[in-house]
Amino acid sequence: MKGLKRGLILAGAIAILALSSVSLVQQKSPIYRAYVSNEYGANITVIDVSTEAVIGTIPVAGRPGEVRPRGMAVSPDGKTIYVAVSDFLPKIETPEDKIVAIDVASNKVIAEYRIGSNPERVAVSPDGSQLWASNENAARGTGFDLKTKQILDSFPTGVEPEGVAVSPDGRFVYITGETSHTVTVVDAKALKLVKHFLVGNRPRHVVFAPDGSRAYISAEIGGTVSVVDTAQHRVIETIPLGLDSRIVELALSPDGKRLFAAGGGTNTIYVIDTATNKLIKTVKERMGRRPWGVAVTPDGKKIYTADGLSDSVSVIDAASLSVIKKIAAGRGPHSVVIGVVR
Amino acid sequence: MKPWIPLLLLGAGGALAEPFFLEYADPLRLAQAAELLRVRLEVLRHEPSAEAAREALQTQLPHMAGSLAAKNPALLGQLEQTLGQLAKNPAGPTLERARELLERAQPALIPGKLRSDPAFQAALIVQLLRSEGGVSEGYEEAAGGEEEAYIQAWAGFQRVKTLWAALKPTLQKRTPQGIGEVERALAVFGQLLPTAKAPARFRDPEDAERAALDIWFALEAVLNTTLMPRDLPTALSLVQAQVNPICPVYLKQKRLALEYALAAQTSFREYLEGTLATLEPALHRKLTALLEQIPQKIRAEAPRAALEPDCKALKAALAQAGTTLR
Repeated sequence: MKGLKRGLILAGAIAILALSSVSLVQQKSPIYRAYVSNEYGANITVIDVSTEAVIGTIPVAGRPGEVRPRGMAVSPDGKTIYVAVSDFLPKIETPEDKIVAIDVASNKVIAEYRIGSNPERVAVSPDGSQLWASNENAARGTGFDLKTKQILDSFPTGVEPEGVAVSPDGRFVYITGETSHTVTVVDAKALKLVKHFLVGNRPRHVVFAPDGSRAYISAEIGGTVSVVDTAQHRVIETIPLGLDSRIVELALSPDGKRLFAAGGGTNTIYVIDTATNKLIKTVKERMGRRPWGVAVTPDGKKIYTADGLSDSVSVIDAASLSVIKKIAAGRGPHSVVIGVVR
Repeated sequence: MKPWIPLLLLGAGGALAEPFFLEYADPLRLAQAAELLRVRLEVLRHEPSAEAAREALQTQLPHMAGSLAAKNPALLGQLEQTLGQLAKNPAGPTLERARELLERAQPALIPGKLRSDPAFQAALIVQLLRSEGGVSEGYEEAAGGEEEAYIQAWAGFQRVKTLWAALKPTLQKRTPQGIGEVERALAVFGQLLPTAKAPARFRDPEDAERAALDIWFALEAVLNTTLMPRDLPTALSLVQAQVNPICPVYLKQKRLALEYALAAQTSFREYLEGTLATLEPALHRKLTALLEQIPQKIRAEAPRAALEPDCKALKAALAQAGTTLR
């Protein structure tokens, strides 16, 4: 009897230990969600990255087709998604020109910020204190202080600003000018316009390398990626991807070694080795139609694309660089970002 | 040898050293000018307006009048006279006469073999969709509140559909995928511009811009040639090629000089203005002023000695722009 009792106690202790270790593993493993802005649907599709299941749709505007969610950004802790929402009426700032903040844990809209007219894309500073928006029709880039909820300043950019990114040290903001083929550099600390410089034809998106030494800029008409030396704010190399590639968004792997370019024209994701700046692979098989948005999960294991013409999201395995899943999204997926629940 | 003969021998221009639009810049701009005049006449058919007829005569015809004067001065005279009558009575029967004369002017301006070349037809479609005064821009302006631009965009789109119907059978033999892309994008335009009457609510004008880009890229892929400038140095070459003959032809062919000056002004606005305004505002202002001043002087029939310094200054400013646009 004593032996049985001892055995039960031991089994119980083992079970508790096992459960707590499972719980520890669960606590440690992060939970990611992919957020897809649906331009025509005026909503955001939320996908659970572990199951690839759509777990929600968040409306962000009441006038689908007229008010559009487009570019998005994620707070440094991954817990807040910022969505650039704009009315297509080009010359007037309307109340629906705004940045919408979504809480990743609850999938609720928690705040809305007015950051100038017609914001097309948005970026967050690395310390999470500033938002920067590209105001497409106003030809300006606007900074916003998330603590004071006030606009910091607004700067002239090239024509039709679109891509916007803040350098990893928080010092510089790059804003692409779609029809002037330029990038505008703003000093985010001193709040001063530094310069404009020429890049490829019709630049759409910009990302900084994790160490901040390089920036990469896509050129839709040029069919190129400009590699920029950020110390000099100067193009030092141009990576050709083909005139019909029509690349829009770019995303870097967390270690910065691979650059993924969404080629809407060829239904392809171009994979570039950033050490050599050479194209190492094209992911085309089973891709959705017209991928414009692209994002890499923070663990670097998966790549998500927003496929505008097939109303879908393609999921690419980063190791094999092949499409492993296609998920139905809303109408007109534009961009995709990855949020972190914990 | 005529400049377009090599193209016809090679077929679609795929193996040419120079981009198609640069090699055939002159016939392309003339074809576009004639098409835009045709579009204006179509608008007049739907909305008779003396002012619009006067504008067609005064602002659109000069884009091709010099070349037509050189080829068939009698025909130009008839066209001018008819457009003048139309400006007095826009609702009258002269509209049909103007259309007939324009129909006759096109073969005078562009040889038949080039007009039937698939790359030429494709370049014309892309220009009508994407250029200044084109379908995409017209829709954007209309959506932005300038509703009178809508019918011009609609009429331009009708013309694009006709041109595409002529081009499609040739391309069908090459690639069905490219055809599908073009047709899908044309369907988008069909939704944006369903009737001659403007819709109560406009859609996102970026849909028009994207559809125009889709058609451009699909046609280039099918034809394996460049139909519009893809980079700034090439666009600058186009403007320079249009500026160079202005002063040399001015003494003997004033209207041709005006044609080149207007072409240079349009190309500058389309391809270089935004970049230079951002990167070199002073140079941009200088170029804009010269490109406005020169046509004014030509219209005022200024002595060549008064025009010559402007031509020199314009060439020098464009050369200076070349260092920025590299």
